[in-house]
Amino acid sequence: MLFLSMAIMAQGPVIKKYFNELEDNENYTKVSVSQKMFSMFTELEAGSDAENEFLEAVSKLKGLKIIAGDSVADAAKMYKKAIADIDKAGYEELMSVKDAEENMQFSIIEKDGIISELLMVVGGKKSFVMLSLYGEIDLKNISKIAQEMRVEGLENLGKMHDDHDNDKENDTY
Amino acid sequence: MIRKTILISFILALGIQSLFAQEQPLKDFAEDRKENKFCFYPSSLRMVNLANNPDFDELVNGIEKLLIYSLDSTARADKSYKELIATYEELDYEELASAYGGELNFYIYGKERGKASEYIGIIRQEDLVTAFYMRGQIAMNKLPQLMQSMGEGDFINPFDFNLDDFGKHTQDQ
Repeated sequence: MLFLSMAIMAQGPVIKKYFNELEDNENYTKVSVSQKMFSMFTELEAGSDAENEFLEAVSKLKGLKIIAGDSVADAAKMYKKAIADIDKAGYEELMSVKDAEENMQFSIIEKDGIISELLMVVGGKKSFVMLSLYGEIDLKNISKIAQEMRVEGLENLGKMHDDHDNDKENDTY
Repeated sequence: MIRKTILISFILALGIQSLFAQEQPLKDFAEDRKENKFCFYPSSLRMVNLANNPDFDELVNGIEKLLIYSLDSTARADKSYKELIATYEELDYEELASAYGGELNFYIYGKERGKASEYIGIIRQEDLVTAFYMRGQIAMNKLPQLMQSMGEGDFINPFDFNLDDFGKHTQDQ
C-alpha cells in the first residue's frame, strides 16, 4: 500500500519520458523543482492571507518539472506526439484550448478523488511547453500557485481555474 | 588537567571543522579556476541593497555567509563544475532545483545541518559561470519580488560581475 501511494505521488511517466529523450537537446530548457524546495516555502511564516493560501497550496506538492523550447522547428509535430503519449498513458483530459496561435491541453492522473499529477502541454508555431506538477493537487489552489510562482508557462494554470469559475457561473444562470 | 584541556580543545576543533568543512570543496575547486571572488556576511550583504529594498533585507536576513566565485574560461569550456556537483551529492546534498539546456542553466543543492542550512549552486548564463556557497536561511517567499527588483536595478546584483554597470549605478545616485 505504501509503495503504491509512493508510486502514485512520483513524477509522471510522460514528463519522465520527454526529460530522458530531450536530455541533451539544447533547444529545450529542462527545469526541475524538488519537494525539498517546496518544503522550504512551507517552513516560512505566512505574512498575509494570500501567502498563507500559497503555502497551503504548495505544502502537498512533490515536485515540478518543465520542458520548454521557443525555437522548435517541429513544434506542431511535438505537440501532436505528446498528446498521443498522454492519451496512451491513461491521463484524463481536463481542458483543452485551440486557437490560431497555440494549442493547450491540461490532463490529470486521478485516483480515489486525489489528483496526483497535473500535466500541461502547450504547442505554438515554434514553441513547445510540457509542465508537470505532481504530488497531491487541489485544483482550487492552482491559480494561487500560478500567481505566486512566476515560472514561464505556469500562468496558463490560472486560466484553467478561471475557466472552471466561468463554468460554475454559467451553470448557475 | 592539561590532558582534559587538550581533549576539550580537540573536540571543539573537530566540531568547528565539521561545521565549516562543507564550503571547502567549493573553495578547493574554485581556487585555480576563479576570475573573481566575493565573500558576504550579513553586514556586507545589506550594503549591496542600494535602494534599501525591504524585500532584499528580509531575504538576506538569515544568511550567515555567502561565497561567490565567477569561474574562468577553462571551467566554462570543460564544464568541470559538474564534478563539483557530484562531490556535493556525495556529501548528501539534495537537488533543490535545476534548469539546463537553454540560455540559463543552474543547479542548486542544499543540506540541512541543524538550524543552519547550507546551499551550493552553479549558475551559467551565456559566457559567465558563477558558483556560490551559502550558509543560513533564506526567505524564499521574497524571491519573486526580488527577481523583479533585480530587473529594475534597485540593488547591485552580486551574481552580475559586470563592474562597469556597478559604477554607472552608483554615479546615478
